[in-house]
Amino acid sequence: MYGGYCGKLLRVDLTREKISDEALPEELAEKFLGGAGIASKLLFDEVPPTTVPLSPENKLILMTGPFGGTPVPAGSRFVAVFKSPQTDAYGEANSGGRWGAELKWAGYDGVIIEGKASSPKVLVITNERANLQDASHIWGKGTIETETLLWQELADTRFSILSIGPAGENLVAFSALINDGGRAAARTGPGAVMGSKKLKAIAVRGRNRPALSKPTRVSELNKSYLNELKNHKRIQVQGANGTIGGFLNWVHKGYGIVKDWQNDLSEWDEREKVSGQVLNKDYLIRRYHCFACPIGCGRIVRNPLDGKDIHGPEYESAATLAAQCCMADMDGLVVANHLCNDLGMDTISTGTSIAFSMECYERGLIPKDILEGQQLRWGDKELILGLIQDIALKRTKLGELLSSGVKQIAHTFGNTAEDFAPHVKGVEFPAHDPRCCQSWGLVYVTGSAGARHVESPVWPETLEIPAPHLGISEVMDRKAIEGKPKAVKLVQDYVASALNSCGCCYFVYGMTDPADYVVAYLEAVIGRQTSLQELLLCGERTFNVKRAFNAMTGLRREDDVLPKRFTHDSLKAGASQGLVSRVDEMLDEYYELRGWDRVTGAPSRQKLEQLALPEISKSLYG
Amino acid sequence: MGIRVRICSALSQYANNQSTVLIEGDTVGQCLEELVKRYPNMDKVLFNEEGKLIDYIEIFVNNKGVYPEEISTSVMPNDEVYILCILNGG
Repeated sequence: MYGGYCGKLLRVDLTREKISDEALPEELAEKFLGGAGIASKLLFDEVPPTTVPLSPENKLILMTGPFGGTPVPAGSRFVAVFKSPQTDAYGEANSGGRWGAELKWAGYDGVIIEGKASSPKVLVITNERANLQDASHIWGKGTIETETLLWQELADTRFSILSIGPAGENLVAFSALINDGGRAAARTGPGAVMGSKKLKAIAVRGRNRPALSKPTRVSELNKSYLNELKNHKRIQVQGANGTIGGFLNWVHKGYGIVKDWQNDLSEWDEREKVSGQVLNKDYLIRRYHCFACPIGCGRIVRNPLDGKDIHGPEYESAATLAAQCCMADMDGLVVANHLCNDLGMDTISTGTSIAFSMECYERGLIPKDILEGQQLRWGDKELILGLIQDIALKRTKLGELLSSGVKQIAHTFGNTAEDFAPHVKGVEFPAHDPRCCQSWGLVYVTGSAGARHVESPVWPETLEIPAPHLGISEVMDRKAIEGKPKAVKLVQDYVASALNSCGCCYFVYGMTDPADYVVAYLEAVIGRQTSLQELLLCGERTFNVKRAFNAMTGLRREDDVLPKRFTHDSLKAGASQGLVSRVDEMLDEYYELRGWDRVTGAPSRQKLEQLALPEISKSLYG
Repeated sequence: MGIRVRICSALSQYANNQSTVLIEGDTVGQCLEELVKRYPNMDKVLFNEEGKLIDYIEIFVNNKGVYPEEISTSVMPNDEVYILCILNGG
């Protein structure tokens, strides 16, 4: 096996309580690199498209990349892949922290979890053995307490803990995996899949670093790259202020992320109360670094309720839990974010679902029997904090409904609710406005797992940073659609391989145009020659595997659609006033570039064979 | 010929929607001061209350980042100064 890899997967059959090691096929590493690439291929091969997401037949695949656990900066992210309860199709979430690195040190590139345990279990992985232990006594606990209890029982705080909270146990559609005290693989519902299997946590502790093919070369690259990053303002600012630090800057761009996408950020006079400036000045205790990260954009902050150290809110959490709900209260935001982490829920989908329900309430769309006397007032901190718990515990009618996500809420309320329900394929929008930047609409509708921002943020347009390595040497006009289908495809392919398959973090490898470094690191770690072209080919192959899986589940072109609000109703103020998404005008060109059928939206037989995926072509076309 | 100052699209709204301005100056700092004289709305997006360059402003001279010596960096006629607002999310 190539350098960087352990060459081994752990398969855990919870039904039979059988645990076994399997070799990672070298061909998979060659064609898909790792992470989401390998995991999506395993999902396609092992999970039939008709599988019910919360049934024992679904699988939860946790996968690292070749950089995981190595000294490559910010290269140890891991991915969770599964059939999603939100999309009923491909699901994916990824996270940083230390868990992915520890898994590699324990000797595994990935873990495949299948079946369903008869009672709650925790999976403990070390270099010596992997075994299932009883978790009945921690079932029902929050993720923070779970971590503490497992450290006590294992008598070793060096274990990295990944767990679900009550939300995952209660099968909340957008429940998350929380690792290392507050990092989250949150999107598209991996927590519910793990909860459906009665698996409470995975504790992992390893001690063997993966072998590098050319360790001296890796050290040389680190020396020069880390030195470059020290003089890189974007990187330094990200570390100093966190992702929430730039929250107010989206005023300049024209993001309509206030009041359930009804208002521009500039219209919300109280926005500064939930800014990064306030968080860093009044709450920040220290910065948090994921393993081998030179930035440290994570925030460890003071919990205003008890003074304890907790993970602070990111940009997305501030935008969804605060701005979309009009909650101008930093105490409220910090506590809401912590509640989501502890209960094990995606902050984006939680905030978006609450904001959407507030707008539905304002429009009189919610039946009285569901409200049970509650008044859903914008910005009501106590209400929002209560709803977060209602959702996770499904303890009220409204909480239970909201726990199913925006798509189901809109379907339940009917009338016009579906016109403004912010989701694609059941996955709630993150806080990037497709009316402001034309690429976002295309990114959301063609994304392999609904509306997500981590699969292909087109930085030459959104961040106004050229990407010369991708052939985009100029900043792109955000209002224009010309060139966007090509740019979206390129970024999707690059992110699918370099970032989500190798394990690289976007904040280092997306904001600095370091494709040369990614290629150089890959050659030094795995020990064979490669190129950006090969990376892009791996990315394209991965993207098509996911698309083929979705086609097998029944998703079609008609599902590549934005809600009417974003294509017909423009913002009334701010830098994006008067703009709407023109995504429909770009789809044909995008499909053409992808080699996808314009009618069905599926990858063509020719494209799949061109990508050396004959077995997938056969599954799709016979 | 003066210095060609390019302003990113997120900030050009504060300079009467001008994306490129020709300015005289020997340093980046002088160019920015002159820019603010012409377009006073640029002041609040470039400088903080203490008159220092805001963290979220990145300056490039001839496509090369000049952090951390942005203000004192020398410029010559025909040079291009690019002003970028750092946007981030995640």
